[in-house]
Amino acid sequence: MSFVIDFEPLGTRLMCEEPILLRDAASRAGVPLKSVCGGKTTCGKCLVRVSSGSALSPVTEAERLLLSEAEIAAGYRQACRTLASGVVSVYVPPSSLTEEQKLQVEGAEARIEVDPLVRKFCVTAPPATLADPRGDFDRVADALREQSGVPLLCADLPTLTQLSAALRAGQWTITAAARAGELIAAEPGDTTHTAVGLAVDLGTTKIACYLVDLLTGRTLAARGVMNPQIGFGEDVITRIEAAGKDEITRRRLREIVIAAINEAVTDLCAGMGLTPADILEAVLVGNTAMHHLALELPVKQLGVIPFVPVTARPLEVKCATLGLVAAPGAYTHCPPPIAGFVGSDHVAVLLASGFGRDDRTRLAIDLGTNTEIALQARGRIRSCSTACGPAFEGAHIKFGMRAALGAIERVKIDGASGEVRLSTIGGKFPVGICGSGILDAVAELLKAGWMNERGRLNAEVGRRGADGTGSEFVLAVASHDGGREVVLTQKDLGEIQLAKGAIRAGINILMEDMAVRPEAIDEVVVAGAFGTYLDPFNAVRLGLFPPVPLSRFRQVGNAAGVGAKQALISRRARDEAARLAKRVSYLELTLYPGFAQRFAEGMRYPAGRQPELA
Amino acid sequence: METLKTAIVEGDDRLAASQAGEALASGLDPLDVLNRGIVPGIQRAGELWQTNQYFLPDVVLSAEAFKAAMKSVEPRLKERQRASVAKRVVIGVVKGDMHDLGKGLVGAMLTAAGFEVTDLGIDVPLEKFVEAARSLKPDILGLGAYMTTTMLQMKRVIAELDQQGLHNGLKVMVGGVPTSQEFADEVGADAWGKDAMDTVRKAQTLAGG
Repeated sequence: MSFVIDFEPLGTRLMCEEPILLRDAASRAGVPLKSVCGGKTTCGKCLVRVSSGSALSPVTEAERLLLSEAEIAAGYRQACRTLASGVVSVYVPPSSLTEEQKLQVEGAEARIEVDPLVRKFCVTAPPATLADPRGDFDRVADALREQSGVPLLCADLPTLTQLSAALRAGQWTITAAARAGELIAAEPGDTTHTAVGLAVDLGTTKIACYLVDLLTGRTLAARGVMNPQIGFGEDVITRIEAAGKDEITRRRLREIVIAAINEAVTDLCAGMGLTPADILEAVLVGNTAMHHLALELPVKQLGVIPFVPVTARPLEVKCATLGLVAAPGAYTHCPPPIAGFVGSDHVAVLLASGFGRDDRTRLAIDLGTNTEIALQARGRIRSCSTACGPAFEGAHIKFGMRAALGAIERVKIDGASGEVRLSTIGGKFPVGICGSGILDAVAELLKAGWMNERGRLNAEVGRRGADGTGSEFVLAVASHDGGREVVLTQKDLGEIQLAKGAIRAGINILMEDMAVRPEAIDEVVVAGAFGTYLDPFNAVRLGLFPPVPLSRFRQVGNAAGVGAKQALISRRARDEAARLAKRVSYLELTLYPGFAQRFAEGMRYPAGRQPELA
Repeated sequence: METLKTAIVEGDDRLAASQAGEALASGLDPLDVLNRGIVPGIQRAGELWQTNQYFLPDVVLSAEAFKAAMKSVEPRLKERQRASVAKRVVIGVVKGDMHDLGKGLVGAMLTAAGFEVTDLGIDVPLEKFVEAARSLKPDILGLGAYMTTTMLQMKRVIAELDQQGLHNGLKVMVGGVPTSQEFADEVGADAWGKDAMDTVRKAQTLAGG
């Protein structure tokens, strides 16, 4: 009886025939699990958490020496002692992996004027005496108005608490952080030379955190972490469903995401010689579901048509309310969503890509589990969202994986000789294939004539699938040094076709609705991590993108992160984001007449398409 | 009729629509157009799908061409009694859900298999399903949902049918990506359709035909 072991968040799967130790399964699946003691259950490094499945050997005494009762109750096990004999899903914490996963967070930056909402002022207040018993806050407010002309009208309780201590520790000289008349932090002495903010792009699959210098606008440090909500569901609808079950689950969904952000932030700060209390302001962007879940807003109405958010206004929430580590009175600014699931992350992409600022005809495609598309033409901007699924991130593909060590990322096929040339991340032997590799492979198969326009693998180059059905194409042969055989199955090709069809349908519908032809598009902005690594030539060749000359493509990486940072350091950018959100008109794809047909057409591969260079 | 059949097999919705229109305009019996042109076309597409020569994109295009042809033929069919041997199926996507594709495939394949299909559309409220069960007296009611947030609607529809005594002769089937056999059992359905082809097989078993 064969069964599948699923390793998250890497997204790698292993088919097993017999009971197997999780440690061995990880090794066979190419999951780089740590092992200092070589499997003797003494180092505790191969820590994993079983998220589903019960066909496991019972907890051993050796494990009880390493794990607490609470951890065992939560499903934690040592992989070297756990025997799986049935379907099981295992979460591998980053700390148990030997190498970091490649989590691309950088994006193309644009220089903008630094003009943050929070500003720091050094102020010296006269000491309290019997003759001048003014309250701490009042004396500081008076001094600040006199010395800098800046009004201070209020402060919350945690900030007031920090103020009193700071005044005395600094012997009546403090640095006050002021935000629109509110005191949000007070530190002893003069710390005006440093001001730090946090920008967060809360993705369905990946969270990107950026520490930003609020004086210069420069990014100080960045980190990408997997969104732990994946344990509750891969897609937003499933998470919304979970949140709707009960309040405890809804709270948990918020808590785990905030905890993940806090952990990343604490690490980033430590690396810079800072502490989270130095963070004076935060900006959070994400699709509407992620936004609502992080703020613990009701999501039931968001999970059914017409997919309505609780508000489409920008929000200011105290970091303390959210549970985000920061200065005591710091705020988190949440730019507004547009409509449906098209959220503030899309607004951030538009902001960073220069939408709304000129007359150029621009197409923006933010590739991800949900791909958002925007088209600007003749003074109008329309956006739509396609739930194309994570096929281009490696999910639902037999040997698919996220971009990590051993993932095939480039494929070239010589149609004449039949040779397949691969390159993998880290140059190591292949253990699977990631998004850019999948795109290349399909484009090369099409070019070589080994896959037809309908997406069917040529029987001559494929071979019968291992399970007897369909056919599969061998990309990499198993090798002695641990390289796995990696294949692309007919079913995999179908998954990719579905994703491609959804994305292309969205693009085509927007272009049709706004009467824009491919030649008229001045610029195509491709955002998202997968967007950075994909080869636009192959994307056009496959029909994923319309036939716009390649010189007009701009791959901008995590543009949502860039936009979030812009909203953090600039009041003007923040206002522009709010205006953009209002200006963009949302198009609900599935209600567009002929959507099913556009979807089917989008799934077909164009015959002999040769992309133009310029 | 050959051209109409081919148009559907090839997934050419414009040609299918114009061929069907021309056929009716030239005085051909709508039932003939259905049985000799449309049904053979969608049947062929179904066969190709079953033998792994057609994949989802091809079938979707054929289903769209089928829909386009039926648009002119269907209203004319109502004017005549269809052969009473045909089993009646009513299908619809539950309230809160607007996913259309799966339903389109199921409708097309059921018609190909000889069922008389009435499509209630998307975002169908409970009352509309119940009313259809009462007035159209179908042999089978098919419910579709494509999101985990809407699939529980099916439980309510079936409970209401039970309560109003409409679930006696009527068989209820459920389907859609998030559904499963366990789910079907849980909500009180009589059968679960894994995909369009499976739905047709199960419907044929349920209708005893």
